[in-house]
Amino acid sequence: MRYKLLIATFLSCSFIFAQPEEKEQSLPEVKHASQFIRVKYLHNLMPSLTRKEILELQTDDAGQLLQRFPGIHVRSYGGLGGLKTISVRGLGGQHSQLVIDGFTSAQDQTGQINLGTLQTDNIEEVVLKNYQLNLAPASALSAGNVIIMNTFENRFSNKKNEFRFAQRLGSFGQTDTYLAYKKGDSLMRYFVAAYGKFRQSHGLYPYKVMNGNQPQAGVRTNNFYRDLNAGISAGWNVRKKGYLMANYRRTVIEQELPGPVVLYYNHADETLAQDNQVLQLKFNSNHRKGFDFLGFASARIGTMHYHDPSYFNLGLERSSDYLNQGFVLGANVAYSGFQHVRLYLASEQQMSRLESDEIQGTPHRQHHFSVLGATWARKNFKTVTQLAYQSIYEHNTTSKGSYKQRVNPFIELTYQHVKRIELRSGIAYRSSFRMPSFNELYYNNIGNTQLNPERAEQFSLFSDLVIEKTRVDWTIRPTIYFNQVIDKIVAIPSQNLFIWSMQNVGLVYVKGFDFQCLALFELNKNNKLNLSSNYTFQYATDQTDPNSPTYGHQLAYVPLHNGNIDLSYHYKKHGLRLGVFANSLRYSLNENTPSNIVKAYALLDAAIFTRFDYKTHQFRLQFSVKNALNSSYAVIRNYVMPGRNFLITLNYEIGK
Amino acid sequence: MRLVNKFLILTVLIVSCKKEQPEQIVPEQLSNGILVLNEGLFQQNNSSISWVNLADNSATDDFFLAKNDRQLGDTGNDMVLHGGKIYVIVNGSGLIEVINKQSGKSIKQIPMLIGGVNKLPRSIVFNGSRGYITCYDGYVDVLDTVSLTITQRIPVGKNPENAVVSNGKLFVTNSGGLHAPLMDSTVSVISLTTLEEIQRITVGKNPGRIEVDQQGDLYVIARGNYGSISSRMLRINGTDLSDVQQFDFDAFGIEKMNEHFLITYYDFTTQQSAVLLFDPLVESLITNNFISMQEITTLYGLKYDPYRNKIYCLDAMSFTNTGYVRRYSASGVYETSFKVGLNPNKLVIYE
Repeated sequence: MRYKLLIATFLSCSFIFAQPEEKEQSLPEVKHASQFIRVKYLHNLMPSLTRKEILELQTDDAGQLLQRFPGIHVRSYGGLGGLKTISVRGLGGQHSQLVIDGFTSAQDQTGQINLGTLQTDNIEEVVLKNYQLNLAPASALSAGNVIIMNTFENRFSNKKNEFRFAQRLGSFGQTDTYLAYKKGDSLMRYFVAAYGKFRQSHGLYPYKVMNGNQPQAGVRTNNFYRDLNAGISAGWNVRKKGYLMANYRRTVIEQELPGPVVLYYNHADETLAQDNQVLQLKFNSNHRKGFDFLGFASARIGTMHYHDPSYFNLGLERSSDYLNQGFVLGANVAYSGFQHVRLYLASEQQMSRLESDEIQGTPHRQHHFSVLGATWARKNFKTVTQLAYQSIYEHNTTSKGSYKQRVNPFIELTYQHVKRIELRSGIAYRSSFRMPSFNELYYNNIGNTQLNPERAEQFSLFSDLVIEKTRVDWTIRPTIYFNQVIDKIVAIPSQNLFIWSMQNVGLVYVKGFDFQCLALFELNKNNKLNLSSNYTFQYATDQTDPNSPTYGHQLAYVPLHNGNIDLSYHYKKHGLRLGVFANSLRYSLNENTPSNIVKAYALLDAAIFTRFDYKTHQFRLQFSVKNALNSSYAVIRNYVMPGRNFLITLNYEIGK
Repeated sequence: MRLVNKFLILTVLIVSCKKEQPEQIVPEQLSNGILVLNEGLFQQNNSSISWVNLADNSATDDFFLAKNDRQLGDTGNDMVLHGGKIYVIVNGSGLIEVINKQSGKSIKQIPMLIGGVNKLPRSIVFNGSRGYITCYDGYVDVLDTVSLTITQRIPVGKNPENAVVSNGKLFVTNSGGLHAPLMDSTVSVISLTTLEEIQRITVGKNPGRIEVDQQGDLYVIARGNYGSISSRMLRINGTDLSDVQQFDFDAFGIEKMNEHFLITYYDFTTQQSAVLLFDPLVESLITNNFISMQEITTLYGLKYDPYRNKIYCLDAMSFTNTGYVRRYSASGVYETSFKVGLNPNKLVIYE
């Protein structure tokens, strides 16, 4: 007991040591965007996407980007603006932490972010981290998986003026406009930036579903989507002692909710409006007498208004309002004064609150994270060990306060061999948990205040192999893993068939394998070929009760196989891209019966693009065909996805 | 392009590799069996009808699809045989599927929409050539069973759930379930001559199932609020409708077995099911443990088979697993089970 108290006390202090050898994600970036155009996968030890690839993919949102990563399965409920969540190696989306420009983005109402609302025009890179982490918020260091995104507006630049513009016109009334301006100086002493992005689509796409053995055609209704993202940011390099950054952004979303396709009945009229604002501040200082320091704070406020003008045809309108507030304060310190050992300590305090007539009471949560870690590296070996402590105090106006605490370990051992072939192999174990969301705890009739956190244990064996030859570079990245989820939070009927409630049930085993193969062929000076392929095998089974009919069955909506192959050919400044994405069959419920099958699908995307430069002006034009073979498919049962659709994109940027 | 097509087809074949479902045999003419309505799950379009062949004790789980080449729809709530036709209330899809009793083929889909919006039909009862459909939008619709058209709408209370015909009147339970926690607690009385509501009787909160005994007394289940107010059975005196008596045992459903009632109950908290035997003549319980629930996970319905003197219990398992019809003797002894579809809730029994 004394030992536990000692650890808890130690971890609760707000100093942190970190790994100085690994640059913090938001360090001033000297590269200009165009330098990302030539992709070299060498030394990039994590699956990632660069701006060049993001431009070629021309995805509508971050959800579509992430399905290009090994181990990730994206659950999509529709086209532009439709709800998109992820599952990483069989773990639910709440186990993953999204870090944008060094700040975590979670909110406690649902516990996860709708990736369909995150635009991609300003993203410079996306990185998936399952293993060791850089100097990052303690909540990210404690999470099961981390997805890192860095944006154009929040990076230092050595250019005095940079301007970016993107205009997209697509099928189903899609119009996107993106504008960004950044002012800096050649010594990277400061920057100020402003940006705005507008997206709109009527979303009335045709679809075809099978009704038994009969094809049934229809047009999606009540699917309008419009959002406006805008923000300002600034950075100041404080006489080389460190840098200070601040940003404010606001996202306003109006959307209709089409719901699932219901046989013989085509009516939907629900709407959702959201308004989210966030203010973030960060100070970072590197390599001062062996110390690195990061301090950050953020505040957010979000409102959501749901409206159903014909609630169950009762002659009633039904509206719900939600007010979501959060505040985060954190600090990290890293010390690298020892010869082989680096220490890091991170601490973060999150406070959140939800107010709604759909929620029992007004819940408040104070979530504290502290992480103590050490890296030891010698010759070809490296270890990372970490203890993450979390304490959660929750208070609701309708119930007594509750307190939870837990310590989660993480350990990673790697062997690295760098000669003509670069090889890195390792083994990792991570223990983590996710708290029940406010909805899961307090939503009227559905919430269960007795819920325990959902725990996850992850074991993995991974390798990265980089082979660099004269005309071709290869990166091969296999991972074998075994995860288990304990006290999984699921919805089951609690009062009658119409009132389902959240319960802790079950044990899930996820045995899996994912594989990434990247290649860059330099055929000659003007001709290059890029190959990017991912394959994920996830055998995620219910192990709760040997007497249950679902024992040993694959979990609902987890595909056994999914993957993609993208091939892009570049001739000078012109190019062609072909991409195939495939998902094996899934089950809509945990029982693996034929009637629960959601069919497998494969999609073909194609694009041609060209770039032309005039002095410091760069223009890029792309024509994309998505789902070129017009496949009828759904990721989630009855949520039909768009068929063949077209997109024209013009990008312009200037930087001098 | 052809090459790309072949590649994609191959990819789908690889990723969708799965054993084919064995072909199911459905009889041309139906007899000596049971049609089972499987409710499915809301917004999943997976309501179905199974056929249980009592000659060889086999079950066909997608009978409607096999007969009609299309699916039944979303959330089947009720299925009743009347005049050579079977009427299936498909709540989520907003329709009544009318099926030929002998062939199992669809005769007509009657849309239950108003201004393009679902009336949310819940249950149906018949009296002569008319059917009465309770609709959650606060009406009872009158169906002409000859023309198969809706001829009239009768306004009642909130979210009418179930109905029964007795003594020239239609008694409709107004649940108010979609107005929770402000549920309704009344039974509407409709004159079958004028087709107008003539009275409302206050019973318990959230009334659901209603049945009538041989003396004309009405028995109603008031399901309470799934919390502090328990689910109870009440009796309305058939001659003095203001005389309402509540029984003090847990109850959720009522089914007739000859002159007796079988009372069903499932406790969602303890996950325990029970079947009670009630004698409406003396208005008291005969036993509170008529059928042993060893074989049942979640009791979701029950039906007495007068032709074979058997009792069929409908087991919804965990609501997300394939359900079962479990057969018991008239004295409550377990005999056998038939695997059917998701959430079986209603039966039509063939001689």
